[in-house]
Amino acid sequence: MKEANSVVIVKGISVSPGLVTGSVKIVKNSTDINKIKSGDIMVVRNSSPAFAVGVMNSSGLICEGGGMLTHVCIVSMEMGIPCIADAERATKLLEENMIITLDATKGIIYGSGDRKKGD
Amino acid sequence: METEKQIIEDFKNAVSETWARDGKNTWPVDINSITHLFMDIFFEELLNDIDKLEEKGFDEMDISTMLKTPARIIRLIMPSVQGMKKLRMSREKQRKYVILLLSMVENLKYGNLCNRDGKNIILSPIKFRDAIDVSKMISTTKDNSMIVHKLCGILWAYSEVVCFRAHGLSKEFHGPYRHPDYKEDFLIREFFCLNAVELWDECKSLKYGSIKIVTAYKDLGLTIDIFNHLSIKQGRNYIDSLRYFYIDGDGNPLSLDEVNSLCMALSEVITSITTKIEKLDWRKLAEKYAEIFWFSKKELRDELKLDWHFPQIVKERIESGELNTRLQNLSQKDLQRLLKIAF
Repeated sequence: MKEANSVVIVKGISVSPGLVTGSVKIVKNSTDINKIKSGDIMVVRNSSPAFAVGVMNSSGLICEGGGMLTHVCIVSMEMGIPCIADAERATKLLEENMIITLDATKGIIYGSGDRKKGD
Repeated sequence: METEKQIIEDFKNAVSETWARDGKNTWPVDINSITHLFMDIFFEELLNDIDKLEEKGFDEMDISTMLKTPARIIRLIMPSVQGMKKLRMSREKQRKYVILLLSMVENLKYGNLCNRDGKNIILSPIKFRDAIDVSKMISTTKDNSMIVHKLCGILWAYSEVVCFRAHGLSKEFHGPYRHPDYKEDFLIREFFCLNAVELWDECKSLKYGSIKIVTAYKDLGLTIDIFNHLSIKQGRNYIDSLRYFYIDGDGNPLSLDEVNSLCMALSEVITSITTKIEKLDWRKLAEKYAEIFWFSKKELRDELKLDWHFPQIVKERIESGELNTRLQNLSQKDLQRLLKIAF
């Protein structure tokens, strides 16, 4: 774990295991899906099947509400994309383009508050 | 032989355990807040359809077979109970009809009715061996496993887009099965009604009506609950545990290039339908939900040579009705309490 990403920002429950570092992209509707690129970590408040298209292109998923059977989390588990659910207030505590480390095996999101250069 | 009381308790326990793990899947509208507008009409019509089919000489097994899969019938039970309550049926009557629906599910299954053993076994050992074609099995690499599971995930989302929470209509996951020549556990994921143009024009762009994904996993610790949700052992994942697979589209094997193209096509339809849905108000969504429920028993109406669409009164009820806010956004505790006192 890089020291820069050593601060626990949010905790949730592990849905699909894995460890990934990437840039936060907060997705509120189907149009927001277009901004997801490989390496990004998608953050959603609730579930919509439209988000599955974003999950397919992302490197990780954080779901603010829900549980193991939240539909977008089921999709991430099927695709082997690291995912945590029930990450309370994640869409408030995480900012767009913030670089975070998602430890989906333990259900912890680490960060330092760094912004991606150029964004 | 289980008594009816035991069957009901088993069913309620299985539902309760699934709900305890469930997220708030209220997309595109909370189903509990709209069922009072049409499920009584739906359920009465379903009973009438069954009666008429029996008059025509079909027995319960024939009627179950017309509905094709256990998942489809299971997903109808709880909304039907809402309909029975609206019809002010006695508790005894509600239990009688829940037993009828569960009996129809049982007709389509070989294993435990409510998956209490963590398995959804539809096929007998002999039928399972007939249903899979081991000559098509492909050995897995990390790359092809990722493509297979990308398709699994995107099809899952697609089935929800097309059928909302009634997606038992469009998919059935069954297994784990054992094959005498393999050490792995077999899981069959079947998706139907992919080109359900009766519900969505957008579906017509898909080349396939059904997809069957046969997979063999090692040490995945796979279980399937009553609503067809898969669970695996903590820390495991499908991609690393897959050993063999094959994928059929309308009965013919698909290459990985075809699978990749299919994923793209499914993504496009998902995006176009969800974009359309995001613009609809709750009344239009309730109407679509009703349409999906009526579509789920289309085969019965087709056999009776009757129109499968919902009657005009459903439209009028939705237009003049309101959301049931009392049943909106129920907590886990509320849901469990309601289930305990239901039927």
